[in-house]
Amino acid sequence: MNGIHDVGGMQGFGKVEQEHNEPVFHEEWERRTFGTMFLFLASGIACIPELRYSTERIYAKEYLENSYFRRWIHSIEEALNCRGLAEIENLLPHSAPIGSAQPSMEHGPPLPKDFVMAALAAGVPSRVETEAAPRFALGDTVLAKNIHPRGHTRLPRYVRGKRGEVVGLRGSFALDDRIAHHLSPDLQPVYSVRFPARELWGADASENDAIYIDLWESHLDAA
Amino acid sequence: MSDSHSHSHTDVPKAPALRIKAIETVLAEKGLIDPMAIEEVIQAYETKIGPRNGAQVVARAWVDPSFKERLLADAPKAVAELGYSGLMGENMVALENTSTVHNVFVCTLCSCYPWPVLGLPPTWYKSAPYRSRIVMEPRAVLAEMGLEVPAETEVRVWDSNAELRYFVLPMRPPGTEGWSEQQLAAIVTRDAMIGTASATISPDEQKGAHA
Repeated sequence: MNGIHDVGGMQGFGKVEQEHNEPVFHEEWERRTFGTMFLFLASGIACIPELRYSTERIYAKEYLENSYFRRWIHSIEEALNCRGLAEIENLLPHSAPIGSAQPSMEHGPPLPKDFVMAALAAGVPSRVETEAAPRFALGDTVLAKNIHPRGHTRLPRYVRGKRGEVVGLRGSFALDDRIAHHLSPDLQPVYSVRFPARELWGADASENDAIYIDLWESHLDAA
Repeated sequence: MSDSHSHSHTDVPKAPALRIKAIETVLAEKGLIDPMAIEEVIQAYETKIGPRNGAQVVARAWVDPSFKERLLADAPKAVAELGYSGLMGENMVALENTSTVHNVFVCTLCSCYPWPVLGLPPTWYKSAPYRSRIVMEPRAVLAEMGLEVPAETEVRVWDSNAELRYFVLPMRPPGTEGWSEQQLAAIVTRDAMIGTASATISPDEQKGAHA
């Protein structure tokens, strides 16, 4: 969706404000939100793309006015509500999901304290082996598709319709655009694509500069 | 609010502290989380997993050319040699800054960041100003943040919108010849590994090293 989260290339947000010696968390409730979010995801009942899509559907005004961890709370609340696990009035108003399947109710046992460090160190490997040969090769010119899906997508607006060069093959990953909607995984090659700054931003951009972005195969056409 | 999205929140506790407490309770009741583990997760990122890890990686790469080669070829594997791995770093790529290329990374869509080497991102990294501007006017943003990149240097902005996570291997500053790995790690900042700063030493440090 062309939501307020997709800010690359927008103007009007002002200067980057840095906080000197910023703590990892500012408030106790932010600490608790982070810890709870990790354990919630570790249960396996919900996934990150689903929660991202939840925050993307927060009304734009509310998205900008509410802090990062408030948006996290909202996304957990919605994940619980849509599974019937709770009836919480969401912290932030939002629009309904588009074209989603029933969310999964499957989950593992709660992660015990003594397994936290091992789980963090192991991570969640997401690269998968597939038989399918990549459609594009290093050096190919590709066109980012000009699409405006109403649901979740990891294809940002600022590259759509632009020409880039494949500079890296990243392996295959499940397309977030489907997982976010509880649809079956679609494993696709992901490419590192280089877009010259002038292709994206016109003649005022430096001719030396470039944007590198990782794009799933179905977001690209041959150019 | 008086627009068509009007909602009445007067009876709902808006305080996030109450909301997250209620969520913790529900998740524990449903058997999804063990509340005793929450503090363990928090403290991992407050005390163990942060930019000091990344600084050790950079310092090792500066003193050990074969480690640097392994880091640039397969960052997760090389970083694991120093004991760092895991969540949000399963598919990391190290970007080498040189005299001709300056790298900086962002996540324009959300807040993706290489946790095993840098910990959790600062607020400015997650903010709309950084995410919107760094892809379009990187030189202006970097200059505001105190980093002037020479016109002839290529600026590469990496948007980590898929499953890859990036971090920058900054250039080793002149005047650090003969420094120990620990001395070097101490001058590597989080921002130098994001690419919004460079690794630098003060004239005093330069003198101190020669004393």
